[in-house]
Amino acid sequence: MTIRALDLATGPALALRSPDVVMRLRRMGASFPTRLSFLRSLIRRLAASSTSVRRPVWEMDDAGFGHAVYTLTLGGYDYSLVAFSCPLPDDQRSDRVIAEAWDTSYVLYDGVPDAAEIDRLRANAPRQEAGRFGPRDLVLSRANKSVRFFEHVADSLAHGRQPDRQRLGEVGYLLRTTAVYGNGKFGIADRFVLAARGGLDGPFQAEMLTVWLIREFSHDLVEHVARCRAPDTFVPLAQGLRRHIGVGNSTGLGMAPFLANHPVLLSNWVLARETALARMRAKPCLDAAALGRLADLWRQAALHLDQWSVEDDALMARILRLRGEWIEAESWIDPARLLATSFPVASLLDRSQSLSVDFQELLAALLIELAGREIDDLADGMAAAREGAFEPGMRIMVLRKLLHDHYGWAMAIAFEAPAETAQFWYVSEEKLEPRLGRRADEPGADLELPLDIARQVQRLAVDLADAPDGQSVAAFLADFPQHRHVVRRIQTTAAAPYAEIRDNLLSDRCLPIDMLRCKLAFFGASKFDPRSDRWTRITLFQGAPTAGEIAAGETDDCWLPVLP
Amino acid sequence: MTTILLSYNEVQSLARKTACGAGLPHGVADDIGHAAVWLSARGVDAIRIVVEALGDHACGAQAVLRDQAAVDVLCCGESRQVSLHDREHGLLLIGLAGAAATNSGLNLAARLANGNVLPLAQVSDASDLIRDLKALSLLPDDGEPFRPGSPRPAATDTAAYAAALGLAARTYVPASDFSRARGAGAGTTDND
Repeated sequence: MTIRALDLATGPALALRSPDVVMRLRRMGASFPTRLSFLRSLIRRLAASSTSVRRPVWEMDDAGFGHAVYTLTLGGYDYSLVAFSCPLPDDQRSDRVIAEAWDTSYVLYDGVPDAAEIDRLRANAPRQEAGRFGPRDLVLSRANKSVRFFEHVADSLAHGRQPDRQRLGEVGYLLRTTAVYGNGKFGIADRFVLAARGGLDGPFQAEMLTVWLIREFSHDLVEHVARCRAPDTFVPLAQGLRRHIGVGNSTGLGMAPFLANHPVLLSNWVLARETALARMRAKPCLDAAALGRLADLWRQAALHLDQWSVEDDALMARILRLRGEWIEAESWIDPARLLATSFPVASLLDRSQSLSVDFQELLAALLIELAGREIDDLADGMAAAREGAFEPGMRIMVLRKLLHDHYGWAMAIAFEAPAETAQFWYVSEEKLEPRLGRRADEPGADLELPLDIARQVQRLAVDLADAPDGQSVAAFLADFPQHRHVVRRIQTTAAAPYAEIRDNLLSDRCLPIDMLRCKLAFFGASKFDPRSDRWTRITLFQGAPTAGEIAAGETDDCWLPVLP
Repeated sequence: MTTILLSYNEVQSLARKTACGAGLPHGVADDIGHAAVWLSARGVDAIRIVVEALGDHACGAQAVLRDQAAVDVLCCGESRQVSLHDREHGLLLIGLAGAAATNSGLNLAARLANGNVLPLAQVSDASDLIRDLKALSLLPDDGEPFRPGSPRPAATDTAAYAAALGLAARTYVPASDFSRARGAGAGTTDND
């Protein structure tokens, strides 16, 4: 059965897709980056500010071990990436949180660090979670080398050659971050410090800036190693290839609790994207220039799909199907036909309902890309000042109605079936790594994280059944304090349509990778490369402007990178 | 006494986990986290206050639930004031009320022994408030803006910090080879 992606009750003028469609795990797991993704916002902001990046410190030995500082000015503030590169034995190179040493480590620093501050950071940044940081430290990160590719690039450049294009296309990065910590972790500055500043006030902008500068460092580092290895034959990276080397990232289960624990923030992200799509849907016609751009973007997406291959069998099968659908559907965008079609975007979206969810979401991302600057204002509303206030004075009859109106999806889940509670989310005592367990086979379910939103809603509904309509929430919770978490959530999400993932996160069918991909797509990630159903690698900033190009603004490859 | 300087996010998350580790429901623990932020922005070592209220030798979980319920009924106008029964846990009660006032915009106020009434929104240092507090009450909105707290939290006593970490650790699942190998869905080395 085909699910209709429109909630017709919202009317044709600005028809947002229904949360019952958008907020399902399968569809979230088909997310693509869009023009509203956070790294795109950052690039536009850096370009608008005519930002220039300086490298006042570069103290590296011939093997590429030492430290460097990159500095830029944005919104009237100086920011510096302080980077450290250290030798690392192979047996210690792990992308997991349980690692205790890394090839490189970083702090995004508020201002320009003097020698004493660099010494302080040298003593702490390489230790990451075991270090302590202060209010001038804005972001903490680390990255490991993509060992074989780093060596290939260094060796190629040292011998006067450019790296192999196919290998570059397959890997796409020299360094892979394994954590990018913000918002007060380990003593660094709290988010509200940046939220009050123009320049880095949007979601994850400081983190994205850090990663963009790490990318710059990775280019410089590999060239430095190559130059030191063979100064007479060394050649620098060709600009086109340099631009195509992004930053990798390895991501695990931590992102899933983040989405569940920030419902208003998640809703703001999705609402911005869905509003952008609805604006496009409402267009009565597209002019010739827009149709030309549509065709260009279609071809770019096709090339990107051709260059995106993964080892994961399930995703590769989906990519293959998507490639086929994309080619078949190219006839849909015939200019003569679309010029004669009223509401051509709506027509395309409606036709896509007969194809895969992957196709539908790629088409949606493309149409948002087509919108260009006219949807950029929506990026300003994607942050959330707070996650909503608790209302103890609300009457029980009102709470019941909110539950009824917004949590029908939760009430429909049959928790008496063992498969619906097969998994549990927990934090391991081992470096507090988030993990997922099988309830029937593993200990620890008594310590599970409260990601069982649907089950909490059902338990609340049972106890609400006997509560008087006119009773206050305050009086109810005095008797049932265990429901405080879900009551606050129901109150909070009433005004946040896309707040809830409308699936059961405990179910046997829940694949955490779907949540990871959703969040990473909002970051602007591409080339999703799952290593399991709960772990993925991605690439950030591939195809994006380098520091030397940033003043010119976004490149054509910012949306979906294509190897030139 | 040695201290550690935490961020607000650390104060909030550690207070919340401490409360969970002490057996409080997640939703109540969330409010303990907000209360800790409010207190630590106003000169109070909030982690110490939470540990003293909920630590092993305290019988504070029930008192916290009672205080939270009292603040709730005060906020929704179902009671005129909350009297201070237990000076030992009084600062946490003030923190819960202060956080509720900040989040809701309500004008909750401290009634002091000398008869003065001090809106919680105007408190810049809560550390001495407990000495003179008689009760908390809800006043009409006076239109006064909230006085912001300090840019960084008050310092945390390292002994209290360690005790809080101990309580928080009760929420973590013990390590095992099986969990390490299967729970995260990734291998342990990445040398490709």
